[in-house]
Amino acid sequence: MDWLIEFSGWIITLVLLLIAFFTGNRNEKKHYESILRREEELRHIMVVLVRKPPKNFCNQHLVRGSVVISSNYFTRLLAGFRNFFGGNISAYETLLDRARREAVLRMKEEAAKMGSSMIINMKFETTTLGNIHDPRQQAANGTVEVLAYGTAGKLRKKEQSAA
Amino acid sequence: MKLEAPKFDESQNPNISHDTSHLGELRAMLGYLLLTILLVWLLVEAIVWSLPYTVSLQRERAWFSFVGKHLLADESIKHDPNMQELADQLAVHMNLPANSVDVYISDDDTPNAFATFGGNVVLYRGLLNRLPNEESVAAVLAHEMGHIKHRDPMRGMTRNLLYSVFAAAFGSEAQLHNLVHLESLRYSRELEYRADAEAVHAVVGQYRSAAGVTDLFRTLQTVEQEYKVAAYPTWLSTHPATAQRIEHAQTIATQIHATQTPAALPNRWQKK
Repeated sequence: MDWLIEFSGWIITLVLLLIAFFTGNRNEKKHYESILRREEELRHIMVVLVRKPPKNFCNQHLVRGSVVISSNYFTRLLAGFRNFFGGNISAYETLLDRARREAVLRMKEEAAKMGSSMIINMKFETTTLGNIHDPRQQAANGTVEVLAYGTAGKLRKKEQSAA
Repeated sequence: MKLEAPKFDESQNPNISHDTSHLGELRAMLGYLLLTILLVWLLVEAIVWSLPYTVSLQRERAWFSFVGKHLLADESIKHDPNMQELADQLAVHMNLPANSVDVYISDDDTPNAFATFGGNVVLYRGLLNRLPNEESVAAVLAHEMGHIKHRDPMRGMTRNLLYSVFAAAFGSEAQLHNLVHLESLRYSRELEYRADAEAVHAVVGQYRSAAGVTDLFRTLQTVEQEYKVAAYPTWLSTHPATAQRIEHAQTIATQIHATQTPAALPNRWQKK
């Protein structure tokens, strides 16, 4: 039994890695399904960047969508290797892609509630969550917050503006 | 005209890599890791192998001359002329150059002895008092001198330093540290066997009998029982199991046709 105790660290690590790999993959797949479905539902809201808002842009509101999303143990291990050997941390690419799109969707959902049809000048803010006072732990959790915000509003109908 | 956001084609998403699989990446990373471990290991072996040629024992003694002063600064550690004389006699049988070992005796009651940088050997009263005869004292001394002859303190330090650098590069990968630790234990046991072999050669050379080594191991076994040393598996300890060491020592004694004439000289360092 001695060897079992001695290797318990390895065994626990391996089990956690397996759990993280499968649940992580499953969650990611489900999240992407949800993102694609909601993107299709909210396609009627345009997100555009303009220097000058259109003259008939009215009912303006600030809309925000924020999401906090974490990587899993398995991706953190991969990213840890990449920290040493270098290269594209593809394990984090999907994490950020999902976070940004989720944030945009939440922002659009808020805009949809207000009956807006357009969001102009959307911006992103991204931050890692961790202990900011300890540089080694700043991104140790592999947890990221993405905030998308912009000005929602709708285009006044031409006949209304004419009237 | 109806305004709406363009339809997004997921397979064309430029922000994520589509052709990578996490498991494949993990395999590649583990491959890199293995390669790195292999390289570091080869580097360590190369340095350790070339150490006796690049740094002579005399130079090591010059570098680490402060170790002896540091030892003597401790009130309980003293130089012992009789023991030094025995060491010098054993050195002849071990092909060690003259004046390459300094022997100290510590009044501490721990049954222990160690060799450290700069050819310094410390024997503890706790062990000396338990040894039945001069031959077994000579066996301990020769074992520690064997470590010095093979430059084991320097080897150990070199390996540890390089492994620390390696471990630091990988941060807090605790499992990696465990592996490195296990490897260093294996290495340590290997060095113990070699020191034991030196001890057999020296004791047989000095007294024409290998009985001193056997007596030493018997004493070690009683000490183990007394201290109730947990029966750790061999691969988890720095020293091989005493039973295996006895077997190993006897094999060597047979190879060099040494007799097992019982030891006869009294232990001059025993203090009642």
